[in-house]
Order: sequence, then structure tokens, then C-alpha cells
Amino acid sequence: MAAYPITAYALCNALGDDARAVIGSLEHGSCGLGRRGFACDVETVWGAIVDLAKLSGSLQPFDTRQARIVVAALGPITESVGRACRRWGSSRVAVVLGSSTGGIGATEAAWAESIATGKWPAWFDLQRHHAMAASLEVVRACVPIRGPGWVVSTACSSSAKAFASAQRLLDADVADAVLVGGVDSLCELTIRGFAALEVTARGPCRPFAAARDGISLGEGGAFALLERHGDAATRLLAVGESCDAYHMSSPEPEGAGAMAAIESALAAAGLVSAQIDFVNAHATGTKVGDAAEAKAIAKVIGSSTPVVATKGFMGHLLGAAGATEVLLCVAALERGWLPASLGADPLDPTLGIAVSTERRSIDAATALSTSFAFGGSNAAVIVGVAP
Amino acid sequence: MITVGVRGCAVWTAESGAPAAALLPANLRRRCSLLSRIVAQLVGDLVASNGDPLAAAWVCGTTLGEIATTVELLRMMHEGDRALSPIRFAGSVHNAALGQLAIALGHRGNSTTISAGTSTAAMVLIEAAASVHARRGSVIAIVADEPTPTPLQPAHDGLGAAFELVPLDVEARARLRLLGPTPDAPRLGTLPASIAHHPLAPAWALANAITLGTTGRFALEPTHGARATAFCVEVEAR
Repeated sequence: MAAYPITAYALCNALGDDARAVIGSLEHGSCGLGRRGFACDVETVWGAIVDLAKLSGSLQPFDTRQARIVVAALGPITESVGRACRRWGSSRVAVVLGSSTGGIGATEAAWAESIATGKWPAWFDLQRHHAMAASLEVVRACVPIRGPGWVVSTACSSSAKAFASAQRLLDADVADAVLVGGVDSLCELTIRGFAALEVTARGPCRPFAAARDGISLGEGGAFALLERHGDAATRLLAVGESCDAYHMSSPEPEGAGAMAAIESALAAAGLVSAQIDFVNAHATGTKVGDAAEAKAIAKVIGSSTPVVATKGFMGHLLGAAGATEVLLCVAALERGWLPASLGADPLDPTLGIAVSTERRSIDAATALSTSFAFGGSNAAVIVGVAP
Repeated sequence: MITVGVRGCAVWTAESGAPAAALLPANLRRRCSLLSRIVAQLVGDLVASNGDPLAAAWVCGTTLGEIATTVELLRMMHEGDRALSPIRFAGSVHNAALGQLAIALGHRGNSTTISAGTSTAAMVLIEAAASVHARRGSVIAIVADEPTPTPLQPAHDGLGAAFELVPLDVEARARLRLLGPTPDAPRLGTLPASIAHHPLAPAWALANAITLGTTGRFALEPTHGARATAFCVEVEAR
């Protein structure tokens, strides 16, 4: 695997409408979790993006919460993507997104309307509103990408694995630039589903805390532009992938699958664990998941490397979490500080890893970000400062 | 764009009958969705004569994923106490089919599930070919959809195809050269009426073309009109 510069990136979630606002909220320790911006009677909190703009003009037929997040998140870097399309040729630029929920929120609305009215609503379009591919169509309507494009949908590892697909496309000379991203939107089915699994936190989630009681869901979009060559502060170095082959919704408790993904990423990057300066942990806030991940980090990376968990700020963004957290690593490398692990204090003393509970300065060149998912799907992404 | 070998292929249509899905243990098979059983059947057929599913990476493409389970959850959400089944919820993700097959077989290597609408067949082959290039080893590429449940429209029947892609230095039945958007893309043979409008039909047709030893250039996306542009494949029988 070759390293590729990250020449532009964008973020949008409950912490802010663009990367600057999101990173500013992280810096100031602001929490985006609460019960605003979305309606659901499950006793939990979430990280909603408020005041998402309706889509109009040629995008109006795609107007869903999911599509609005795509447009809001991508907006700040459309010019950069357009420049890449002119530089490399539109057919040599690919797009790989990650998503888990797709447009299920729109299907929920159609279902509710059909019960209320007795007929299936005419406005609903399965491909434009529900299907994963709808987000691709929205991206292609915003930027002139004409190369290959797909949505990786492996639940919560989706947009971390999108980086792996992108790196393969560049390595195989199928593309010269890839827009990588993740997007997911809040919907009732997801909140009720995690509640049925009895893993939703009552208040804001507290990853790695001794008193953690589950996850908080969130929504958001994240995009990164990878190019074969280009000026950038950071680069994608490698991605490792593995499968637990253990259980559909619970991680292998010793962290074996997570370890395999991390070891694979290190090998692909040509790094040893001592060269990882900090870890962004998947850390959703569940008892079992955080404990398994901590075992994997302690065994492969070590017990003294700083570890940060960011879901206490914005919630678990599901299919968008991987890309969002890789880009938070990029921001930390650029700015020389790690955010706090909001809610982690007091820490679970049994974890055996060095969780950063306060914002801290760091002189870092290389970072690892982990993502784990239903189906036992694991991904570990390594990014580093450009030489 | 990228060239790979094809060592074998398999297809499944509604006319094939209920998938036996023998790779899945009975207790798991009984709880699986039809999509998961179609995927297991295709992988089983693909590796029946030769091939080791544990040595390969897996890529699955689906346009709507576990859509029957999703609709079942939507029904639950509007009935009684509105509680969802946790097992159904965990099984509603697009990667459920490969996740369950991985548990059944003990596959701990890379497996990915993707979706790309009517381009799903083309994109699965590109992702799988790039993965062959990256790992210098075989990749099992599957495309599959289960029937679209009511009340969703347009309704399509279940359909699936699978390919074992290998590096060029491995003995293969055919070579596939995957091409970017190509004008004047020809259709991929004559399709049975029952699947003519299915978004995954090009994958089914490609598998049949490889089985028949066909050589030529074919569209991997549904084409409309005489001058359609589509991702294409050049098939060279070996």
C-alpha cells in the first residue's frame, strides 16, 4: 500500500456545520448530545444536526435527512473536489462512501404516512430516498466525479473501510483521486433497535468510564479527498481489515478481531506499534465493547500510548463514525492537541490503557483510528504527518 | 482500467428454487434471511469444485440489502408496544449475509459489502479486482438481492451471481478487463424476461457468458438508448 495525501476534508455533525466548528467544539469541550433536533420517545439522548437545509432545484427529488447531511457536509470542499476532477480528469476520480442506515428515515416517514392515510405515499421513491446509492447520486450532482463509485455498508465500520477501498483504487491505478466519505442520519428504527439490544445510554454516553451505560447515537457527514500527489499536511498511510467470525452484534471479548485489524494496518504501513503516537478508539460506551477494544489496544499498541474516545461529544455516527474519527485524528496531527475523552472520567480502572480524559498538547506524527461493527467487521486506519 | 482472471462463477434465480445454503449450519440457516441464504448458496456453488473460501477475501454487492428484515422492523415499529426484535435489528445491516457466513465458516479475513444501485455489479467487480491486485490472492465477488417486499416498489425478484477472481498468473477460465465509462456500450446478451429489468442482471449475464466461453465487450450496467455510456467489461475466454 502506498501513502496518499489528504488534500481536503470536511466534517458536519452535532458539534458544528463544518470542520472548523466541529474542531472548535472539541477544543472547548462542548457536548452536542441532548434531545433536540430529532423526535423519539426512547429514554436516551442523541447528537442531532439542527436546521438542516431542505434540498431544492435538481436535488429536490433526493430530499431526505440523509441527503441534506451529504450536501451540508460536502459543501465546504466542493471546490477542491472540482479542482481534482479538472486536474486528473473526472473519470479518474472515484467516490467511496460509507453508510449504515442510508435513507431508512424517509422510509419510516412513508410507512407512517401510509398508516395514517391508508395508502402508500406517491412522493416516496425507493431508489432516491431509501437506497444507499441515493447518497452517491447526490454527491455526483454536487461535484463532477465520473469514475467508479459505491457505498460501503458494513454497519459501523463502513466509512473506515471506505478508506481501504480508496487506497486499493489508487494502488491499482483505477483512479488518481478518491473522495472518501461517511454519512448517516438519525432515524427512529436505529434508536429503537439499539434500545432493543439494551445498549442505549440514558444520558450522554461515557466511553471508557467506570460508570458507562451504553451508546448515544448521532448523525453526521465526513469527507476526505485523497489524491495520488498533492500538497497536504497529512497522509493516509494504511488500513487493516478483519472479521471477528464470532457474533452478529457482540465483539469477540478478547479483542482478537480488533487486534488482527490493527496488526494488519501496522504491517501494511510498515510501522511498529511504538511508532503510533496516539489512538482514536472506536469506544462506543458499552461495557463489553470498550473492554474488548481496550484489551486489543493494550496488547498491540501498549498501555502507555495516549488513547482518546470522542463519541461523548457527538454520539456514535454509525456509518459516518469511521471517516469522522479518522479526520479528527488528522485535525489532531495538524494542530498538535488531543481532545478530551468527554465523559470518561472517572475511568474504568480495569482497562489498562492510557485514556486521555483532558484535552492535551501532543507532538504526534502518526495516529491510529479503530472502527468495529455488527457482523464482526473491523477496520483500523493509520494516518500520519506528511514528510 | 484493471484486469483479473475468473476461476469460476455461479448464479441463482428464483427459478433455481429455495437456496439450500448448505454452508450454514441448520440452526443458523433457519434464522437467516433469504438474502443470507442466497449468498451462502452462491459461495457454496462457487467453491464446490475447487476454491477455498477461507483463503479468499469476500466482497458482496446488494442494491437494497436486508430489505425484508427492514420492512419487518418497520411493521414492528408501528404495532403494539413498538418494540423491535434485537436479533432482527442486528440482522438488518447490509453486511449481515457475509457476517453470518463468516461466523459459520470461521472466516477472519477481509469481507466487505457495498451498494451502488444499478452500478452494483460493475462496482463489486472493480472493488474485487482492486482487492485481487492489493492482496495478490483470490477474491470471492458476490452480487445478490432478495425479492423486494410489499409495499415497496419497483418490485424485483431475488437474483444473485458470484465469481472467484484470481491474479493473472493463476489458471483461470477467463480474463476480465474492467473498463471505465464507455460510450456505445453493448448489452450483455439476451436476458430472460423475468430478470430483464433487474439492476443486478448484468452480473447474471456475465456469469453465463463466462460459462459459455464467450469473448467480447459487454456493459455491466443497464443501458438505455443506442449511445449509452456504461462501465463495461471485456471478457476473454481462456
